[in-house]
Amino acid sequence: MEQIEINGLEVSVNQKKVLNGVDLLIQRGKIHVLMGPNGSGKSTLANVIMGNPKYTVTSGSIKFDREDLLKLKVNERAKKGIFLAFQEPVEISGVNTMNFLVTAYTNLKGKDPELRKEIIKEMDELNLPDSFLKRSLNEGFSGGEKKRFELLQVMLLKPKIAILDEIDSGMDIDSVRMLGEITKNLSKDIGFLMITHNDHILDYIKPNMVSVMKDGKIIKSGDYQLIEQIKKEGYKQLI
Amino acid sequence: MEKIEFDYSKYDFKNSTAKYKILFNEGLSEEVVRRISKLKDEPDWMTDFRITAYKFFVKRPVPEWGADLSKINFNNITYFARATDKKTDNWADLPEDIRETYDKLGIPEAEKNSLSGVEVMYESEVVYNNIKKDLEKLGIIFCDTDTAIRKYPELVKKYFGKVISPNDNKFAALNSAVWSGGSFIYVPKGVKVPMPLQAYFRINAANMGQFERTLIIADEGADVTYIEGCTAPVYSKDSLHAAVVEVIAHKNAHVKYITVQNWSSDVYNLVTKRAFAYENAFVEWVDANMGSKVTEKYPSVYLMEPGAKSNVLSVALANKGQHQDTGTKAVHLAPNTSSVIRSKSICLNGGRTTYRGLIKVKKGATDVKSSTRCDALIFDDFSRTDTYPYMEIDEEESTISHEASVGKIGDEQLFYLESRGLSELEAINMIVLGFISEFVEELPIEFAVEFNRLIKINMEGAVG
Amino acid sequence: MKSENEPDWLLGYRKEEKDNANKLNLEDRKLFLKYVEKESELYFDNLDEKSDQYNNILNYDKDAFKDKLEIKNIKDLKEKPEEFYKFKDKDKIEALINSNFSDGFIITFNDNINISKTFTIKQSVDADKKLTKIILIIGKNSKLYINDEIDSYKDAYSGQNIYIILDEDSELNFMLLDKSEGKSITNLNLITKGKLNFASLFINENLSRDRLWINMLEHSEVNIQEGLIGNKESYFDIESEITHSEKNTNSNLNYRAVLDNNSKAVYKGVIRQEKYASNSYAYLSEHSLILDKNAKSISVPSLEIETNELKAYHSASSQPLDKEVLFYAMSRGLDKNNAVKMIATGFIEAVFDKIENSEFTNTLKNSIESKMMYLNS
Repeated sequence: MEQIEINGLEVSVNQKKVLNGVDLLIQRGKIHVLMGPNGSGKSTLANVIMGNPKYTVTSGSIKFDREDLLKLKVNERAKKGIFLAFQEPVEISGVNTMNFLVTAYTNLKGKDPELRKEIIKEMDELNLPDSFLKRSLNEGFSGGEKKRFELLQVMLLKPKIAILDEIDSGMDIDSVRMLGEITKNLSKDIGFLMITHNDHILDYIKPNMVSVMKDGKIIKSGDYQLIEQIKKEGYKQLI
Repeated sequence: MEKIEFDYSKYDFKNSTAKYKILFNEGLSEEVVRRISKLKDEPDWMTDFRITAYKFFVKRPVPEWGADLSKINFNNITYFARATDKKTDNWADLPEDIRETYDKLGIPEAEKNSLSGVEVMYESEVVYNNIKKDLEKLGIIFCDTDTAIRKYPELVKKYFGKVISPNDNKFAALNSAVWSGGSFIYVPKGVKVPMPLQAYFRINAANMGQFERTLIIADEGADVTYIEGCTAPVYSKDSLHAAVVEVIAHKNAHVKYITVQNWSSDVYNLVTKRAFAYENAFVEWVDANMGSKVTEKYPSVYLMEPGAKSNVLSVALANKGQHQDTGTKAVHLAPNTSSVIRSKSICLNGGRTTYRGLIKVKKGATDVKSSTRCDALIFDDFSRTDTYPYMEIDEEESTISHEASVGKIGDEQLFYLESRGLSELEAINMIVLGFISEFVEELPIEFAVEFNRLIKINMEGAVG
Repeated sequence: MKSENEPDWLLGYRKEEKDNANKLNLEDRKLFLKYVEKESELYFDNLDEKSDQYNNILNYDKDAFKDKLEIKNIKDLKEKPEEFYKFKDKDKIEALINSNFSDGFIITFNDNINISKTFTIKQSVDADKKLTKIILIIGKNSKLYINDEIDSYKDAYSGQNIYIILDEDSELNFMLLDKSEGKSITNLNLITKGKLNFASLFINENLSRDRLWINMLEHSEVNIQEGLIGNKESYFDIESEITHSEKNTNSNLNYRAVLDNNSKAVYKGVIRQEKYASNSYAYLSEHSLILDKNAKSISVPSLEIETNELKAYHSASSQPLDKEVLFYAMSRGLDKNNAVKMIATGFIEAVFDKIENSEFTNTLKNSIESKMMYLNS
């Protein structure tokens, strides 16, 4: 199964070092949870994997299925099957939401006559009103609705690896539960890197791997039992 | 439009354009103006009108407040020529970039020729004639302005030059002296014109007159939509175009005027467009400026009586070497009138867009509402965008608001779309089309499709 | 301009400026020429030499500022100071004041000083004309509060050219209060590498012409709050031009005006972002409250942008008193005049919300309230 291998990744933004040698493995078909205090670099890592031009990679490598990912442009990485659910999804005025979904899907997967029906079905599943499809992309969506819309895109575009950047923040309890179920189902085929801020989601999924990040580095990795330890002792004990 | 029938030369045109070439290109003089009028066989009042206008033209200086017009050489301009002979005789003579654009826009061979003036599309003549019959049944007059003077002199005389006087500005004066061609439309009381009136085929070459004069009169309760221009770049050997458009919307009438301008890149396009909106009338200007070297155009509405409303929606795109200096005037002369203005502009590769808007509320015009929103996209630091909104408020019971923003395409927006698989160019296209979506929604579907393609062609220059 | 006690270089400068004045227009931008009014009232004859002691104009706590500043009288200088070369005349009126000023100072504030006591410039003109030229140089890493108060009697004429150079990492809090009954002209010209917090309140009764020209260099920040209350026959001609010349610059301009009776305000705001001003942000908001059908408001908030690495916004509006709000106030027992006073006062005070210095805030509030008393008279 394909996987993302990150080795010794060092990243700067505005001449300031934000990632200090990250080693991480994200495997397809597995759920890998990434935790850590604010400012530890989790979101940065997510953005760098997707190729956000804001960040400069100064050292290290990211390979996907043994291919050098850093050489590829953002859209080429998407075509390879990488997906990023943004922490703060942008609004784009005038770009129709339905058209956006159809364009993205057709571009990545090819034409599908059942596409629109499928989209409406998934909107309903995620409790998003159909009327949103007529709006401009993400415009007027509440925080939770934006996050569920990111999840819809995961369901629709079926990437190989999906990085979820704090998708649970701003979600109510029911939505978190739904997120958990959907992720569990999708993880049979998709590899998830789930960056989480609070731990409610962990009541609904059992991750295969858990990593903790601090000061731009992964300081500890383990299986789901690591979570219990963090819950009891906090992050401090891990250093 | 009648003038497509090339009044005198329709059947000869195919064979020889030279036959009917009457050119006055030794500069302008009162003598030349008289000759033009005589050639057209006009009534005395029109000849006098032209001469008076010529005198104003001579007196007025070239305006300096707008774009750079210093390079216009008035002695080097062809002041009158038959509509047919401004175009090239030979497809090969067309500039490279124009031929390329035609290819990219997927314009069929036959149409290409018509655009370049080499040939005429007779098929559409047939279509035109059928539509013409339907219009006549409803009492609608739709012909070229030259014909209108002959056939409907009283009607024309009543309105001609009343919205834009010959002394309004230098280029209106020039047009008033040497105008030729343009559309004349009269819609009777209560009549709703069943389809948008336009060039019956997209490429009405003769419609692109140099000194066109258009006059649209919507009588009480009438409703008409008029479309001019086309998305394919129109090649013209002339360097100066100074058209005048006058619109009168009587009580309860609705006039919507859609323009897509895409003159070739060496043209100075200086147009005066104005509408008078009477009681409860509604006038809409939907205006896109994509071509020309310099465009100065401010389609305006004078809200003359209570209840009058106006809506101006415009898009300007300035690519390399272009300056789009556009905007609008909303002049509130009566109480309970409203104006809405939305302007979107895009500049790249050294182009410059300027928005100039005037909102004037005269004393006594109480309960006026006006709202303006101007947004500008600027792609790089060789380009320039300006916004100059003027608000002259003389009456306290009015609510005027104006908002403007300038920025480039957001990096986050680009990143989001690219992360969904779109290339940089595809992402830019999606965002730019979204930026101007409000405008595109107002165009008839065929126009909209072509217009989007035209934007995409321009955006290719945006990707570094 | 009597020549007895003035150095040659100064006489030469005055002549140069007089020539400049003849060449320049009343407006620095062609765009605004159509709005020029009251031309004749802006001109004046040569000024008779007045020998005011500078103590009357500059007021400051001698202890707090001890060894922290240096004040030089322009007439005492032996040669033309380099600061004169840093600014170029923008329009005719500025040049005329530069040619005819009676009091002129160069005040240099040291680096690394932080003084919470206010340095005051007070221009009170009883009769005739008083024209002043002041150059303020503020060193690096300093924080200061400067106050400029202008007042005059009905037939007097006050003119000020103030030039400010603000160095890196410094913060200048400047308040301008103009309550002249006579004609008043202020030209403020600033080059900044630091942070400027500027508040101005115009409650003139006559003709007021104000220019604020700011050139922003790298990493500078400018916050401007302008308020204007016009009544009777007062006339305001206000222009603010902020030029972002270099990168990483932020500007924020908020203007609010209340116009009543026959007053008229012409407001011209220009934000200019030049080619190298990448990563800059500009916000301009301009709102007018019109209380009388004879009051007139003309505003031209403009943008000129030559770089794509930026964000610029502006919003402008002109509106009458909200009838719902008026109704609400009156339903709580206020008579019409007091209700209008409350609403208009709130409208103007809001523009000064962000000012931190309590001395400035108090002065502004008191001035606004005492001006608004006109509704009770």
